[in-house]
Amino acid sequence: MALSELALLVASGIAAGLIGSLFGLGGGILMVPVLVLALKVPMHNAVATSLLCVIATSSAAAARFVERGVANVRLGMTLELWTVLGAMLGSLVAGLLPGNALVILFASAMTLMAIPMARKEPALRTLPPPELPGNAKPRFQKRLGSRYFDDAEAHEVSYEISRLPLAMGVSGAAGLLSGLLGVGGGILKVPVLTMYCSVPMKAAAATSNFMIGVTALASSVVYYGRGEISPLVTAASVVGVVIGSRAGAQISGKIKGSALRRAFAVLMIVIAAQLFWKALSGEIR
Amino acid sequence: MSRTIRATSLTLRSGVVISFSLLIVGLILHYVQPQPARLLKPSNPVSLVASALRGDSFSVIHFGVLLLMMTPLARVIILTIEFFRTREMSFAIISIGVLLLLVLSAVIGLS
Repeated sequence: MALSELALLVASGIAAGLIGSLFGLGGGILMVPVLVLALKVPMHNAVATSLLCVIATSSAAAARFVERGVANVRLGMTLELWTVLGAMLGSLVAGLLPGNALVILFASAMTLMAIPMARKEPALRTLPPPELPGNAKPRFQKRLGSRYFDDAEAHEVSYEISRLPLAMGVSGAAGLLSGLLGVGGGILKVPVLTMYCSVPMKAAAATSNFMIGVTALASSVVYYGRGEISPLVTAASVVGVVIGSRAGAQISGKIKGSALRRAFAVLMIVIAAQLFWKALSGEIR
Repeated sequence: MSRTIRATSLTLRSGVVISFSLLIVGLILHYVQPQPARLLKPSNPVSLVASALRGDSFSVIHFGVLLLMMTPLARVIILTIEFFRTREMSFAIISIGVLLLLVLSAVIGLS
């Protein structure tokens, strides 16, 4: 690999990490298309690289969230059972699919993620928990509630979990998506935990982040076993994504503007269209 | 639990920092002594460490990748021990379940 290609990889990783961190998407959703479209990396190798980028960024961020008590460790471990199972299945299914089928799936997921971003305000409304008499509430579910101190609001937030089976099902689907496509899966888990399971937005995002490293591990080990990890591509991408996501975390509070968000959504749709085109025309196999 | 939280956080941080450093060292070594491109394949950990110590760039990167993959696993192990220590048996069993699934995926992946 030439030095210029390496520099391009690191720079792409920085951009993917920075943008992913600014818009709460994780680096994978951008890293995979950059690797496939710009650097002609085979899809399966790109997914494997992206999974390792997910482990690196998730572990670094989860350390902060766990220290601050925002990540709900007990809920995270409970849902991890399902994300890991999904990720394992996803990585096995990915091994059976040709690269272009995986690209088409990735482009479809990317388009679906871009649509809510293109809307005016991605505000999430929390549904009230289902009415249950005190003793009818599952005992285990009661123990998953938690509390943390919200620095921005300057008060303690405490919450209980509702609709746990729904959270488990969605976690399984998020794991499947992660194992198949190399993304974190937070895009599925965070809205469901917030809207249906009574988990505050910050706790949902932190808990999802806490989980995705383990989810990505379950599938990356399968890709590793199949010999689909390219050392130079992975090393340069991980280095770039870690630098980019750290920079993104520093400036994310300072950047506002739904116009930027919508512009990025349009960019995602354009990239997805390119992926569709290349996969359908047989340029990517 | 606060000691465990600190241990978890430290494990995650040091896992990322050490593997990140190994990946950078591996990339630099590759440009000092270029080698033909190849893919990472599971290999004997002892010989991997030995060739990494001899300065083989791909082995250094390989070691960094494995360390990165071990980081979330270490976090699960630490929390499993803590749940057993605090006698939160439901969560201890769940953590064992997560560990078993990770072992299963490693067996499937590496076999």
